[in-house]
Amino acid sequence: MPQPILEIDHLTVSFDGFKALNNLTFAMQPGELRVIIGPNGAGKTTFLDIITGKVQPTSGSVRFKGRDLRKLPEHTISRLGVGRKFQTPRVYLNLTVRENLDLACNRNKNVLATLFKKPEKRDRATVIQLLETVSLASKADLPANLLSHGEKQRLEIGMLVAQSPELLLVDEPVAGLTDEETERVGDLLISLAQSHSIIVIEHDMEFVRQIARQVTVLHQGSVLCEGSMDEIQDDPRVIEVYLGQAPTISPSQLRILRIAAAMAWADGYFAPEQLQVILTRLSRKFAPDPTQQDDLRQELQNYLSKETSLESLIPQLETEQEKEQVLKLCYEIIRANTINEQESVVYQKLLELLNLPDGVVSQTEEAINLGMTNGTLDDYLNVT
Amino acid sequence: MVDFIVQLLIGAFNGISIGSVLLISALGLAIVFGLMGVINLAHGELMMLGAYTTFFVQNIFNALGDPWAQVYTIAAIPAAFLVAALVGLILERGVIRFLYGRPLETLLATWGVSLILRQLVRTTISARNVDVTAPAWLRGGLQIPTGNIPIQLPYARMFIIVLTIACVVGVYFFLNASSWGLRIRSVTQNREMSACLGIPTATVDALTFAIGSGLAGIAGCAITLLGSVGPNTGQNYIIDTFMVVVVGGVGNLFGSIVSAMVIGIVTYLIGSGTFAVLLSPMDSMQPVVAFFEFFASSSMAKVMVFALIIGFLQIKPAGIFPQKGRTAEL
Amino acid sequence: MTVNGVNQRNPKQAIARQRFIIEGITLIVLAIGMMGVLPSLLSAFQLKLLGRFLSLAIVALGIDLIWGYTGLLSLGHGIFFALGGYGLAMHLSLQLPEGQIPDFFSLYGVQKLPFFWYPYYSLPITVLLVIIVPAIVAAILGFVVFRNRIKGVYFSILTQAALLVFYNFFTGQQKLINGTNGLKTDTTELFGQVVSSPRMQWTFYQYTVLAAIAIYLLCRWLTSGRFGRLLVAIRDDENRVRFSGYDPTWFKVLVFAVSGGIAGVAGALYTVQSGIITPSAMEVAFSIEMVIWVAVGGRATLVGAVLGTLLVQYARTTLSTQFPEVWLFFQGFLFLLVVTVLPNGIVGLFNETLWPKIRGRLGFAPPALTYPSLDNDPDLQKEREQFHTTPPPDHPPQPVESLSDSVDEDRSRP
Repeated sequence: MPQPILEIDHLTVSFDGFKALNNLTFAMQPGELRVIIGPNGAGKTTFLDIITGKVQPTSGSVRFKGRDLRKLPEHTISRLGVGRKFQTPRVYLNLTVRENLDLACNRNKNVLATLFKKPEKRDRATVIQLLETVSLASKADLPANLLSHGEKQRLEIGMLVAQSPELLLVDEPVAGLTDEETERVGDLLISLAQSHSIIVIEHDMEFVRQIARQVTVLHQGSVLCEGSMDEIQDDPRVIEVYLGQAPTISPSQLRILRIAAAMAWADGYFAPEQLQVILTRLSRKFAPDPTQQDDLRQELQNYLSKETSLESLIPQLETEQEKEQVLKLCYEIIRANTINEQESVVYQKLLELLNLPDGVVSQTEEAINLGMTNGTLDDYLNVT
Repeated sequence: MVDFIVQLLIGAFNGISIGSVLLISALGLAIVFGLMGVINLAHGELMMLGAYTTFFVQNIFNALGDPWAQVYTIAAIPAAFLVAALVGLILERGVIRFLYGRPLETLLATWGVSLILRQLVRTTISARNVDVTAPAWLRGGLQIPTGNIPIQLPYARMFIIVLTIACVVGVYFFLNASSWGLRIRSVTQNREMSACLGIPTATVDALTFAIGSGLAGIAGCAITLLGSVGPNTGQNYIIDTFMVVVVGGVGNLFGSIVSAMVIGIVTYLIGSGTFAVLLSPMDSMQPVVAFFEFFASSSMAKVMVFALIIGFLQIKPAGIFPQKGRTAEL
Repeated sequence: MTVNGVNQRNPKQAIARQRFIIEGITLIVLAIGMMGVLPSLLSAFQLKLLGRFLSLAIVALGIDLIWGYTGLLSLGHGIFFALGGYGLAMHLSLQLPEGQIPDFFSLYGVQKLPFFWYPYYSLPITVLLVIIVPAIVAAILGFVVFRNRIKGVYFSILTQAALLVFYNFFTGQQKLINGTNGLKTDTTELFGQVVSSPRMQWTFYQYTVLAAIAIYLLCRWLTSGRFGRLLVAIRDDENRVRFSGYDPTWFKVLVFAVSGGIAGVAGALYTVQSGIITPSAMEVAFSIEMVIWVAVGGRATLVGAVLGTLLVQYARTTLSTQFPEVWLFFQGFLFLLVVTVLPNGIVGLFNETLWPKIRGRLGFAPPALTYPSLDNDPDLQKEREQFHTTPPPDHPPQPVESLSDSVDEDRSRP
């Protein structure tokens, strides 16, 4: 196993008794793109502050490439190869885009070298190349205060790359960006991940899904869990810290419901009323009294409003039994009205992914077609 | 041994006395600079206005005859407060409110105001210093019979200490127990949020500034007991008071109290040569004695105290009681 | 590079080179005018006055470096100014027959010259010390302050406090440096000439012009390259600079020291042209006044610093001879004016409003509506033409690939 690029060991930071980070342990391999999520106050920004030397740990250690970062000033850590992008874009507003990048890519950052050495040719080439990378070439000679918010975000990422760090720390890169800009930043980060180790802190789940491979969830200053995006979003503890309550249904029930929801979306038209009806019925199924039903309905709505692709959901099904349940439920759903072309495409895809024996499929379909008059959604969920 | 204790007592009294002058002058600044973050270089001139107000009140009361002439100081305190507060209010509404969030610009603008106020006093009153005579009951001092060195604690000094304590207590209760105090604290912590909750932030700003200025006026009244008053009186205090606030920790009233007392006592001990006297019997300490003797004058004591302050800020850059947390540093 | 590429690059560089040449020519013309022509036009008194103004303009350049570019408002430049002034004055006071020490020492019963006076016997060392001593004092003061990340108004207050300390020290030490009385240079001799003689004053004037030009060029060099941009970066966002791998402390220490050294040179030149240096050069008011010169001219422009100083000083001389009491009012209002309505000073006003008008009167094209470099940028012009002919290449229609994508896109359907 190679040496981790970043190792954090039993780290605690307390401000006047308040523990912003509490016994946090974290490790990251070179070349990883890691996303850190967590509710407000989970200690995400303090986490970055610690790595970059802005805040000193109360106890515990931070190692970058095996080197202890404790007591090192920010600029030394930065020169070791840790670059940081702040939550709100921070660029030098009175300098042009080109000058911003030029300052960042200066190789020798001593006072005298900065004063006496001419900018090298390759530096200039780096700047021109970076201008292309962050798509700001046409605005290279504009002062940065004339840039839009999204452009400033990209410029700051460009400045980060110009430092040629080995580890990039990116704090909420898409806050306040339009969807299109968000996607661009996402693509930029993914392409950067080929040559850098990156830690991204983010709130925007859509964006996290776009870029994430490995996700760490922070909660109350400690690591709550780590894993792929799918593992994370089905983890009851994560759901609990984000939604304030533990899910009342089991993860496998939730998975089936998710697939059913994806199916229901398949014809591209899923009336809100329809959703409400299904949710109400489901909640009645699981909770005895009306207030609990109401809570559960709200809860289910939260889970089901997340968009997920069938490709990632179906492999998570564990038993043949579950797969059959999914098949029943989904066929029931698309069968509810006339099957149109899109629905059939999606259904074919579902069958392909489920990979059940042909006999089972035809039997199930038969049974539903026959029992259409008395079969209800509830019955299928009952089985679970 | 008795001598030593007596020396120490005198030192403590004089130190606290210097400290209380520093504190009463810094109190207004602690509010304006500490809570509002406004650098008011005209603070000294507000003190000067308070001192001149005391001078005029004295003249009026002296003209009224004897029973009145003895109590003018009591009447001068609220008068000085009001005059300085009014000028402060005009200053805030007229200039400073346009400059919130731009501390360096505020600094320059208030320096401009300070120049104007000084020149105004020079042209309208006189460029020469005027004397305020303390009423009879504040002259002389309390004699304390001790062994071979009789000590006298001047009444004027004691009056300033009492006045300072009264002001500190008043400010403390105003900020912590009154509804306007609550509003002031809320605006200093989060302006936008306070505005959303319906707190008139502009009024709060004006009020805070006026109170800070008024306290400068009271300080001006107090310093008339120490010497004559002139257009440049305020200039003698302004830097010292800023030092008190910076050393104490900006935004912390208690820090200002501690730092004023410490600076006061250290200044006295160095300036009076007490250190040199105390150490002189010891032969091995002669170079140190010579060192302290070099600084044993009020102006050289300032040099030494400043060096100590710089040294102190090396250890605690944000003062005795620094503001903590993520918001402390932008 | 293609021919086309060369054409694209050239205009920007050509404009820069053109500006550089214009600036150089202007500087040379000014130098010739001030050194060759003005001395014969002005009376000895006026020339001396101009020399003094120019020395103050040199301080203003130093202040502009630290305040205008780096964003650190120093209220303690009087220290460095006075240290420079005292340095030269000490050398001049030592122009005595062998074995004598300056007269004032006898007043306080001092027999032996204090140790720190000795280096000032030599003129070359004195010239060096005039620059080095203030620079070192500034560097030490800057280091202890910047090391702790004390900035903004705290820096200003601490420099002001330091000023007060030096003032107290100099006024309190009669036995070392003649206290409040200061050192007179008028009656001293240099190279066998009385310092106040017209001949010597003419020489000092010439040296002042030379020093002003040299220091202008120094500041120009410091502010134009990467170093200068880093100063601006420190002003804009010091923490960002730190996270980019620079240590702002040393940059600030260096620029503060340079600024202090510049003030030292100015102090020395000012002293010999006014005849005396006293601790009053370290009064609080004088140091803040230096700031107003820069502010009036326009901070972060070197021309502004010089222009502002000359204008304010001219106004001061005119006003205080005719209505002495008005000057302080005027100065006070100047502070308020500069802060509230004229934040970019005269140079800013000229660039923003007057210059476009003059251009218009002269029949030049009206200024671009957007940012000028954007309108004139050939790259962008080309891009615009492309934009009108072909659809933007940024976003080609995406082929529908995955199931989830199609679901996403269809959601927008009614």
